[in-house]
Amino acid sequence: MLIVTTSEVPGFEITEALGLVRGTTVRARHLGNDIMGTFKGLVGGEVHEYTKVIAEAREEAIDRMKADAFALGADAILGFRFATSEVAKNAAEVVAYGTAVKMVKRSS
Amino acid sequence: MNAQNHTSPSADAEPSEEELLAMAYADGEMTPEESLRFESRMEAEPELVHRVAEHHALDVLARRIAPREPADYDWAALELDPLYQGTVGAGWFLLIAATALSFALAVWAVATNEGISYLHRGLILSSLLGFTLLFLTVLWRRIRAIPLDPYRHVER
Repeated sequence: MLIVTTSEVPGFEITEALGLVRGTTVRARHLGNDIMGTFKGLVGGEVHEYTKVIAEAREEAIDRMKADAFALGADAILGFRFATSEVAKNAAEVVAYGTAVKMVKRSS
Repeated sequence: MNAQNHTSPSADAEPSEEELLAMAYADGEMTPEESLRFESRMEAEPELVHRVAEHHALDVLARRIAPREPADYDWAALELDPLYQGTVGAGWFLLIAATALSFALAVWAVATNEGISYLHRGLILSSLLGFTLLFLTVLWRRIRAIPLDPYRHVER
């Protein structure tokens, strides 16, 4: 499934807008990673433990959004965006959302 | 379902019908009716759940393949260093052992403290036991779910 941040896809014509699709997840690392992450935060540099939890949450949110779009029979998701917030300490909440559309290749 | 079906198929093996169904389900290629039928089968056949999880994990990995960065090589080399492994291992051992021992001593101190009424001792020990049971339940659930979580392989 094509996922783009733009509102249209060159060479394709949007035939139907199916509505908002979204995927949400909240993920946390275990206490051990939190402890090591805290120490790494003291000395500087990339805190891999937190990079990983954000990346995991991002991928899971995208997959849930795609499942939402598949259920609607969409061909693509346009205007794709991420949003994040903090609902719990040391947890990453990611919302992936966009507009599911049906589209066909332009003939000319 | 025979034992051969429990292993991942090799590259040149013909996929079984369950494999194809699991792939179609993981890729979202089923109709809503087919999905519902397959989900009903998954409730009765845990092996199908693992097949779907495997395909899902491959899909996630395929999207996440990226060249390693210089810092990754540096971290990998550091993690193989015996001194690093030794200090981290010793640090974790001391922290976990001391925490477990402190918890056990706190329980013992409450249980044997004659200055606290039986009712209060019972309440404190019950809350500690409840906390422990809840933690172990969540931990056990997480351990069981780890093989079905494809996102644990995502690094960045």
